Amino acid sequence: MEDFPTVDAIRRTLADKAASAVEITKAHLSRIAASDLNSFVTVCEDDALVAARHADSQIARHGQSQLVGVPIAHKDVFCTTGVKTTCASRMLEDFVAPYDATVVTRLADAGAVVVGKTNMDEFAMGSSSENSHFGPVSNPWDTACVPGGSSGGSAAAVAAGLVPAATGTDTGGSIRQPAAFCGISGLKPTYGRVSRHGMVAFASSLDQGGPMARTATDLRLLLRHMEGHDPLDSTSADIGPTGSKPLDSLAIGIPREYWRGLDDRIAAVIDGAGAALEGLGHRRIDVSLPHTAYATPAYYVIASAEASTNLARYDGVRYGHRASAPADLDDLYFRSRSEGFGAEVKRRILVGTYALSVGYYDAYYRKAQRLRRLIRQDFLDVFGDADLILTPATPTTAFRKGAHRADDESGDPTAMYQQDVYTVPASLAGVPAVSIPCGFIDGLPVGMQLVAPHFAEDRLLAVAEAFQRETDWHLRTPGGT
Amino acid sequence: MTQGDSTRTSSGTGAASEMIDKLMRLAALKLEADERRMLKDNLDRIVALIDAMQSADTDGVEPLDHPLDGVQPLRPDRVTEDVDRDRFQGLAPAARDGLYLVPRVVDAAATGASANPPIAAARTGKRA
Repeated sequence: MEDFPTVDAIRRTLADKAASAVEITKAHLSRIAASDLNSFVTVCEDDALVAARHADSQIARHGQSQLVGVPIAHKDVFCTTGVKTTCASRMLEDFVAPYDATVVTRLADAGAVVVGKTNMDEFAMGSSSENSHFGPVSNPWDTACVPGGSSGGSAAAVAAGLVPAATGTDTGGSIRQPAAFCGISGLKPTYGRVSRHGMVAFASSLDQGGPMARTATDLRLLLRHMEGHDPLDSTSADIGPTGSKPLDSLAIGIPREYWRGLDDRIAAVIDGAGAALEGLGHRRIDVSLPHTAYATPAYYVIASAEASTNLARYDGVRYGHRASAPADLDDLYFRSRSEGFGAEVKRRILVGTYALSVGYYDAYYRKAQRLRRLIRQDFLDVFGDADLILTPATPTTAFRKGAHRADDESGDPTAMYQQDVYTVPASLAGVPAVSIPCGFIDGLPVGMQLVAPHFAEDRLLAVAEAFQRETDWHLRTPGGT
Repeated sequence: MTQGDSTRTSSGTGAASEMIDKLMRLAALKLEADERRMLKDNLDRIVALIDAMQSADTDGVEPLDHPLDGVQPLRPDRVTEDVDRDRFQGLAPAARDGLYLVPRVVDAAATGASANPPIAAARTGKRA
């Protein structure tokens, strides 16, 4: 078997009986064991081999279908019974969930073999996967660099061929930015397409699970078994599955605001991707998303406010870290939380508390929500003329570890927040967006972002697949594991 | 840390310091002195970032709570699951006899319960 097989290739291998699910699973477990990227928090070797043996018996009886026998990993934010769900936090260091996330159940029902849980920024707060209680993740293209975040463990694992696909979650770019930094494909679906049940909450009006894989075809294969209405998630959309439409000639919007101040070399790569899309029969049109500059501040107010509310549940009483020998109830609450959360999580809780506190609520939280409506309207207006939007996924390629840390008084956390400048607008609008590889700068991958109207993932993935049939950026593989 | 005043020059005393204390109290967080100094400076920068919103004209714009402008769907008012108290309470760092254990919250002398151990139990209902 090749070193970096796609989901699609593994399905064919299994269907042709060229290798068994056990053999494929063992090959990936060996690669994980040999890797020093720190991309996994937990490896489930025994459970994976049991699932692989079950897959082999299914294939022997019925042939290969769905994802039967395909190894995958889950970001450690998805609840799994019998396997720890840590969110890369000391707070949940030993937490084993009493139920499976809907995404976990659906992928298991489709026959996927889960080989482990991937590392991430604590509670999905970060853009570098350095904010992990279990240590930072390395980028396989250059291990001195970060893989992006917060789904950096999933991105690095896929890029290094440790798994052909993994789940991620995206609140403000946490699938798309690490996909771009690691040279893989990552889809943030429309808000509501994928159930959030059992996905540990960060910012509930923004969080969305999605697939990460080498190719857009694999994203489609994964999404098919992740999406769909879920009565256990009241924000889950009751809408049909993502289709597979033949492509017409599309109008691709190029939002001029995204090019202001953009690094010249990134701009040249994205321009080349736009030209390649024109070569596929589409046309580029100039469009405007006038409130783009307000997206990052509005996002950090809304996401932090929701985080401060969601993380109030961690009190040292019902589950999670508990301080030893508390003097009284307040001491139990204050010390459990202070010991359990890392610096970035505390920062966001305090910012959210500030934005929601008396006297500031209207000036910050409501203001951000008003801007959110304007930002969403920008997208709706553009989609009156354009079928898709093309932007850079990130302002830079992967940066070096430590470059944007804010762990001392001279540190500036907002430098890290600016990493999300091209991804947060789609998150606020709730529209789907995919990041796919489209070039390299100094040996590091560059990602382009395609954004579609609500629930138009079929169009998004069709264009991404067509692009990948004509280019080979997504087939390049790194040396580091 | 007031709107339009990011207190970048403050040394952690006075009004800004009081605000940090208030936020820590509201968020139930306790920070060591060096962590507190670092966070104060971090927060000043973050507030400066989010203050950029104030230049936008949002008069008459309705706040957006949900990206699809969705409404909360209601399911039939029917019991669909039983909560397994033992299973969920098995996650608790300290539980006994169906109760979550926390430090005493009622003064022992006032209740005449001085013989009780220094841990109070919070009873939970069968249904969360």
